Amino acid sequence: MSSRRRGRRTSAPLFGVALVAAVLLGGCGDGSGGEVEPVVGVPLDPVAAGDPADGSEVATAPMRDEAAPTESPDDVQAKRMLEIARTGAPGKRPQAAARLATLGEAAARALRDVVGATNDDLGTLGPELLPAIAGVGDAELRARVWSAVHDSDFPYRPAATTALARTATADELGAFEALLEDPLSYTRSAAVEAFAVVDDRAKEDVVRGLLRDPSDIVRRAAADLLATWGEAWALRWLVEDLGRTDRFFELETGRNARYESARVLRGHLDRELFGYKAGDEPTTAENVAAIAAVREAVEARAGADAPRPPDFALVSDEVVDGVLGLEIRSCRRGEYFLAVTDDDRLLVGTGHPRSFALRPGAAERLVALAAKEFAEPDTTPLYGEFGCDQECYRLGAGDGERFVVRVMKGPQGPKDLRPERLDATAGALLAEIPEDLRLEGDDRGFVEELRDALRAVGGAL
Amino acid sequence: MLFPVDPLRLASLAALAVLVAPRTDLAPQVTAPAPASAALEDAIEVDVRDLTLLEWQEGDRLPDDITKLDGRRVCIRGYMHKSVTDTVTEFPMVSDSCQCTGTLLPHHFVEITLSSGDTSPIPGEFEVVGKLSVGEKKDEDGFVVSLYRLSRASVL
Repeated sequence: MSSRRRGRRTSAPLFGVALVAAVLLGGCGDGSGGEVEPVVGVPLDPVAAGDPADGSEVATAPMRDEAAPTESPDDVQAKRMLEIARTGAPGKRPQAAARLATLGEAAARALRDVVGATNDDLGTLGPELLPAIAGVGDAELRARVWSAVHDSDFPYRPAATTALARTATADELGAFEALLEDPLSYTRSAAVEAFAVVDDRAKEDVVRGLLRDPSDIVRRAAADLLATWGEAWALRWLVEDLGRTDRFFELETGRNARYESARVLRGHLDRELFGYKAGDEPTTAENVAAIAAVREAVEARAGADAPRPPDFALVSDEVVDGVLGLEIRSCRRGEYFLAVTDDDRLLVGTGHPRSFALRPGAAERLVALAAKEFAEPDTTPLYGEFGCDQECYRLGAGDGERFVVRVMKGPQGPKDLRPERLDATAGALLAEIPEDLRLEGDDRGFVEELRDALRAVGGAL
Repeated sequence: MLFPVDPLRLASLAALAVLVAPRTDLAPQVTAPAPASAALEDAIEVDVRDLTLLEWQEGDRLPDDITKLDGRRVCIRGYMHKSVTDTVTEFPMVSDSCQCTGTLLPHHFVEITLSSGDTSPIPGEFEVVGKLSVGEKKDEDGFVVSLYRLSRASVL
């Protein structure tokens, strides 16, 4: 039970005053615990509380002021919204959380009762309540969300960052700037929103630097903000995405980029976007004309000498394929897209993947291992439990004769979900990657990063 | 750029693919009957991102490209929302396999209602076909419970 609920009561008015005082003290404290002393040292029992159901002489005495206090309409509403936000239909939860956040102190009281004491406790609530916890106006609750963001094992760090960013204050910008170095692209892009909310244009150089981020998700968020700040040249990054047709095995990564960048461009240019249709190939006559018109509109706003996208952010039609594909999505350790090609190369990323040499004969060894490990027809397309985190193995050739095996996991901590045969496959892949390989800007070895990501999803290798 | 594959290796991989016939007891189970191919012929293919990747707020008018799909039979490709953990007859379909990044607002999903039978959680992208209805549907509390609904749907 929360310490704030330990206050004893004598009369309803006194209780009300004390509760408000207690909440104010706790909510505006220094975060050192918020322990609230009992208001009055009267034992909480039916007799002392004047419970009419008791039937005793004391209880039936006329003690109007000592009757159990009724909850305020805001408290009732807050509890109801909290319940819907936690257990209602998925589509209603964020709406209920948004209503909850408007209820001020009543919302804070209700939230304090459920946030628990640890980040694990907070994680059990799911991502939907985070905007309310961060944005209800209670410093202690907001600090809990910051604590979660700084906990690499918290399962909803991007959602927590978004929740904080949307209500960011100027004195928090330093903390958000640090998050721009986060290993999760979704956390980095979420942190960008804080600079938009605070509208601190002194940070323009910081945001400009994100246009060189390896993730198109982050580059897109940076371009969007720079364009909002009047730097229309940044839209050039998004125009490039309109022509993308790149793929990672069967995943249409380019198509997704087309949709995402078209959505952002519509906000800066016009809703029709000159008739561009992200779902159609960029080579249709209509889309060729539309892309040209979008480019012309952007160039008309951008200075000729203004920055242009680097090579790795230009339009791409690369199809990443090979004898083994591994897609790792961990809400804790980040996303990795890996492909081993027939000629012993390791491709990392999508769009314009980086290419590294594997040990000679690596592809052949991996194919042989997969043939051995999966010789018995008892595999399954899904190991573990349905969830967001996953390892997706694509084994086979680039002609469609391929099978896909997934290990999936919910937001819980590490579990041993990966079957031995995939342990062997993943372990063999890591063994083929040179130990000294480091990606640009990373201070850790790539193998170590991958091992951590795999551990976070399917368990230790 | 498509990467070349050695023919011998390709043959061994093809053999490998045959060897690893998926086990069915742990595979996603869909008891709803697949629609006849004839029923698919009149279905309009819709990318779930055409519906869900737009800026929308309660009360906003939806684009004509979307409203004209109201009442039409459509085939939609997307992902099952992670909130599904058991056998269901209804589920939200979303555009992104990873849903740890945000929250599910009404314009972020299509509410799928199977015509008959049920399904266990389905990993990866898949298609459903059914009749699409478009427009805000509110509950007694005034929450917009859905913007897009696919009724009498079948998982392909």
